Amino acid sequence: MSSIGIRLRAPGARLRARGLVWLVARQHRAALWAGLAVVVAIAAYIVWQRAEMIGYARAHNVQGCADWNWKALCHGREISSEKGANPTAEVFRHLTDTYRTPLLHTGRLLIALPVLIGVFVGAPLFARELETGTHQMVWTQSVGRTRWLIAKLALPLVAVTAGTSVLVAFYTWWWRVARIQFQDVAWGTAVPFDATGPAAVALAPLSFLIGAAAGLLLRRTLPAMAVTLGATAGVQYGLNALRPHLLTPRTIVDEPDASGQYATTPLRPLFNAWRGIGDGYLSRSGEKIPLERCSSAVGAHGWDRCFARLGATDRWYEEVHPASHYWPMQWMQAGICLVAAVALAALCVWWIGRRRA
Amino acid sequence: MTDEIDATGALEASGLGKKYRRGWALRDVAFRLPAGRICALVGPNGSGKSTLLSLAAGLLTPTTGTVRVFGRPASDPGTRERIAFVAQDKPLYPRFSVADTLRLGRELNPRWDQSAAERVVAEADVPLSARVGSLSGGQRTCVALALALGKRADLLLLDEPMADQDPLRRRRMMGSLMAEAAERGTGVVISTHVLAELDGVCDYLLLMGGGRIRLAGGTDALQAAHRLVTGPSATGGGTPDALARHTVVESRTTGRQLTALIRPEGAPAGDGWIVTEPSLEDVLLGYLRAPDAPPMFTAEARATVTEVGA
Repeated sequence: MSSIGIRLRAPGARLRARGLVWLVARQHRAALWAGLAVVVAIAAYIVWQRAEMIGYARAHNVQGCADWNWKALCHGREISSEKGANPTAEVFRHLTDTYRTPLLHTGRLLIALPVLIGVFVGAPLFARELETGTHQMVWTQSVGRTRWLIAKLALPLVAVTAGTSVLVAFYTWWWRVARIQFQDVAWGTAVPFDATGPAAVALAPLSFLIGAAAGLLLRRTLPAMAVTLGATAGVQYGLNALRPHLLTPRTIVDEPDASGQYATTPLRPLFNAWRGIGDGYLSRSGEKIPLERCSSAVGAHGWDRCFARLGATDRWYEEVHPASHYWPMQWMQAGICLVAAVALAALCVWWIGRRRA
Repeated sequence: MTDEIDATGALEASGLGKKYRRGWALRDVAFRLPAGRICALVGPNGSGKSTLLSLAAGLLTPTTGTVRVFGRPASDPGTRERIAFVAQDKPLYPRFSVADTLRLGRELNPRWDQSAAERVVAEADVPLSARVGSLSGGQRTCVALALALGKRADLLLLDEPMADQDPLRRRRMMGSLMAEAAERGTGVVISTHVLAELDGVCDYLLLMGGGRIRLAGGTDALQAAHRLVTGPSATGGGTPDALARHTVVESRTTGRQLTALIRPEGAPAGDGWIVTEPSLEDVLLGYLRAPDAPPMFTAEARATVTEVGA
């Protein structure tokens, strides 16, 4: 039973790949180096951008400043738009202009990564063998095809998960210092949620297995890649749609003061929160009347009339996911992805066994 | 479950059938190939040769019946070490070097014989460092054969291994293949539609046509069971009376002369008939020309395992 696995060679204690492990590693040698290069390049870029950003913020004394609630706030003070004031709005605008785009683009690249893994690593894994007939050559060696399948799945799985983990760790590290500045970027949207934390890591094995299963079932590389593209993009879309419902959002109520103005002082629970889940007016009995109910009303009068008819008061509510929901949601999404990944792996093992019966 | 297992049968099929979506590729195939024989699997394209070999290699699942390798079902994990298979299009990893391909054999086969594999590659002048994808079709076949021979299997299943070889290399490849086979008593099944390539090499024959076995047995016995007769043709056409009690496989009339391949029952023909023993090629050509001729199995080629039930 030594044809799968790694044998530790004494006395040098050097690891040498044996059997199927050697075969799979040899088959993916080029992809492995390419993947490593991508990881190093992106990680280096993140380190550089993060250092630049922090350097600029420190030099101009705007660390921890937030563009929040329609105002730029710095160390508890509003930023003056006057020239010469320190910190100025100018400085803050430069910080946003220069570093916001790289941060979000890098995040978009990271959420595209699972799709690329599924399409270019997962889908061809079995499809290419079945398409070119090399499976006949491997299946007539002395190793069973179920073990072959497990080895083919396991090694790339470990590699893509490890590579993604490194990138996600770097990106999370960057995001944590940047998020305070970009309060308008809701943490629950695809960037950054699918590019940070365990949820981002779990997307990689799931996408890889979607590709592998598609290739195994379809037996053709190109159709498998197309299906994988659709399925992995669909999974991310579906997870984004599901996400606000993973936990019950917190409702924040705001009442106008005597002059009819709503409070604009920073409300603690809104800071760092994922806003935009839902908002509207409360009825006298405290029932929520979402804004969408009157979305078809025309003009300010139509709007007022519509809400009046629905029994709305002027008490405004907003549903948000506070920052404390981030980690539970991350683990929930990671769990969903891992369960699906395990199911797909089981499907592959079952499928290959069935074909031989 | 209480089948008699004949341990000496390298390959044994009974009631074997394989249906693809487009129809039956193989039907009611039953035969036996004793161990250690060099068997030519001959037949026109589409006659079911590749399907039969893939079934024997355990790559396909039979639709009906069974195929046994050394007494065990072809799908049995235990048979995997004992057979080696070279598929028709010689699939290999194009990005592997020749050395990598042989290493694949070493890593995945406990009985691997590196020197035997390297010998085959060296004889074909294929450098070990060459990428498989850069090799010619013939060279690739050599690497595929090396992989099969290095496995030290007891039965080699080779699907058209010589199709893309030049005559010189074909001869050399056959030579080294036969030497390896003779040395270790390895059985070989070679499918081909070029008869000449196996003349004098094989001692067993399976002729296929339309998904069925038409001739099966040792080449000597098959030759001995047939006669080539030449004599006057019947006046009204058809079979002359002199041949009536024999099984006429195929006959051709040239002018007033008739040449026929027959399976004689008793003394062949009579006065005025020239009777010769046909070459193996004569027998094969006779059957290939006459697709409806009745099939023939020698005693050792008859399947001994009879399946009870479906």
